[in-house]
Amino acid sequence: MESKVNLAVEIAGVRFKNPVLTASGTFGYGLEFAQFFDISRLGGFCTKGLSLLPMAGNPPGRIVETPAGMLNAIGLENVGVDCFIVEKLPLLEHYDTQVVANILGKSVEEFAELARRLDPFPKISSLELNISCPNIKEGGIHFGHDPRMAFQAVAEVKRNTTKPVWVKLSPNVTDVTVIAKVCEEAGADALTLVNTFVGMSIDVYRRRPMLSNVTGGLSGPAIRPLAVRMVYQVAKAVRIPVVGIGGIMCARDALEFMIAGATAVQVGTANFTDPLAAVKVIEGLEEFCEDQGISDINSVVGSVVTRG
Amino acid sequence: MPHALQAELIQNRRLPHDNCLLTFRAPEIARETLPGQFVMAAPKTHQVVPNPLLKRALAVYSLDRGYLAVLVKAIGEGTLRLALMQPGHQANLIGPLGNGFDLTAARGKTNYLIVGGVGIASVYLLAQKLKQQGDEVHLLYGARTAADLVMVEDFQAMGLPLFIATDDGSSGFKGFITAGLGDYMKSSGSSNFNFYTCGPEPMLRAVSALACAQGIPCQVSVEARMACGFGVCLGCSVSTHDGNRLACSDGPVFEARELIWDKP
Repeated sequence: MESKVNLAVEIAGVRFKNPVLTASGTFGYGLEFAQFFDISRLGGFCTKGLSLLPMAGNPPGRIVETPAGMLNAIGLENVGVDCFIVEKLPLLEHYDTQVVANILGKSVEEFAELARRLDPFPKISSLELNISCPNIKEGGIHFGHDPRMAFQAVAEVKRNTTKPVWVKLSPNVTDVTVIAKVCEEAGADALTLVNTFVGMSIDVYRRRPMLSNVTGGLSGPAIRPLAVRMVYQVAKAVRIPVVGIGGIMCARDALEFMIAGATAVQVGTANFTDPLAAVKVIEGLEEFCEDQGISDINSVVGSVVTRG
Repeated sequence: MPHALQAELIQNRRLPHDNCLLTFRAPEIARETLPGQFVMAAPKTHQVVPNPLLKRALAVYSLDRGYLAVLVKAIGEGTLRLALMQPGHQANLIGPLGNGFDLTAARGKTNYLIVGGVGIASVYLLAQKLKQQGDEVHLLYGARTAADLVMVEDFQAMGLPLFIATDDGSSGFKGFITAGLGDYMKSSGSSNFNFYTCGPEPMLRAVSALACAQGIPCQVSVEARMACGFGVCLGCSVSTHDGNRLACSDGPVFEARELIWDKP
C-alpha cells in the first residue's frame, strides 16, 4: 500500500525512508526488535554505543523509574566494535533500513580509530559520536562539555571516515548552541540532541542512591519540553540538520521536534514501554500528514511560528 | 519467541496481604511458556504516557490452555495498578521472556523448591512438570505470617510434601526457611539433592551458600529492576563469575555457583 505522503528525509546525502529512527542504547544492535516487527520499516536505527574494546558497564542498580521517565546508569556496556562488525553487522544486511553506528571513545585517538574500523562497511550509513554519556568517568561527557575537545574529536573523526558524522550532544550545559556551533565548525554533518539529563534518585529508607553509579541519565517524557527547546535553539543557530530526541512517545511528540527544527527524530525510552512504539510513530506521522493535507513531511521541519 | 500483545483479564482473585492472582487470556504466550519464564505487564491505558511508564516483570504462575496467571503483590505504583484491574480490562503483555528452569537436573534427585514470599509464583509450573516427569518434589515455603503463605493449597492439592516456615511462627517452623532447611534435609534420609529457589535476596544468598558448600546443584531465579524485559535496556544486570549478565535474557534462572552476591 503506497502512501501519497512523502515521509522520506535526507541527512548529509543519506536518504531515510521516513524520519523515525530508534535511539542508541534503547534498541540493542537492532536484531532484538526483529522478533516484534519488521525493522525495515524504520527510517533507521542507532546502534548501542560502540567502544574499541568490549565494556562491562556499571554494577547492578542500573535503572530506576521516575515520574514520566527513568534514570539509567548502564555505563556503556557493549560488545566492542570488532565483535559488532563480525557478529552483528552481517545479520543487519537483510534489513532495508539505515544503520547509524553510535561510537564512543575515551580519547580523540579512540574516536578516530573507531571511525577507521567502521569506514569499510557500506551497511553503516552514518556515524553518531557519543560525546555526551553522563555515566562513565573518562571520555563521554567530557568531550560534550569542552568545546576544544569536541572540536578535536569531530575533526579527527571526519579525517578518518567517508561517512556522514552526527554528533550527539549533552543537554547538561549552560548554552547548548555553543558546543553545537563548534561541532558544525569542526565539520559535523548533523547534530543529535539531546542525550539524557543528569539526575539522581534516593531510597529514603536506606538513605542510599537508587543507582550504583549515584547519578544517572534521565530520559522519557519528563525531559521532552527541555529537549524540544534545545532543538529549537540549535536549529536556529546552525545550518546542518538536527535530529531530535527526548521522550518521544507518539507522532504528536515527534512532530513537536520536527516543527521546532529537527529533520528527523529518534525514539528511545518508548521502545521499552512498547516495542512497537517507533512503528506507531511512523504510522501516526503518515496519518497526521494525510489529515492535514501535507504532501511532504519536509515541509513541517522548522515550521514553528513564533511571531504574529 | 516473545509476543507483544493485548490480553483480556478474565479473573482477579483477591488474596491476603495485597496479593492477587490475575488470569489473562493470552493463547500465543501461554502456548510457549516454560516453567520459570516471565511476562512484562501493564494495564492498557488510553494515556499517551502510561503512569507508571514501564511494565512490571511477573513470573507466569500457571497455565491453563490459552490462559495464563500471574501472582501480583501490590507494593508500588506499577503492581498496584495491575492489582486494581477488573475482569474485561485489557493489559499489554510481552512474553514469554527469559530462560526457564532446567528440568533435566531433577532426574533421580530429591528436589527441593525453596521459596520465600511471592517467589512461590515462579515454581508452580515447575512443580507440575517435575511431578509429571515422575520426580520427587518437596516445597519449602517461607513467609512472614501464615496469611502470607499464598497459593499453598495448590501445592497441597498436588500432594507435595511441604515444609512451611513463618517469621512469627503463625504457621509451621518459626524462623527463616533457611534456618530449618538443614534439619529438614536430614529428616528426609536422602543424600542426593537438587535445589530450585526463588525469593528475597537474603534467602537466595543463604540457600546458594548452603548448596555450594555441600555441592548440591542449585538453580536460582533472580529478580532485578528492568525496563524492557528482552535484553536491550541492559538495566537488569546481575554480577556473575562470567561477568555482568542480564536477569531478563540470560536469566532469570542462574546456577547458584555462577552468582556473585552483594555484601549484605
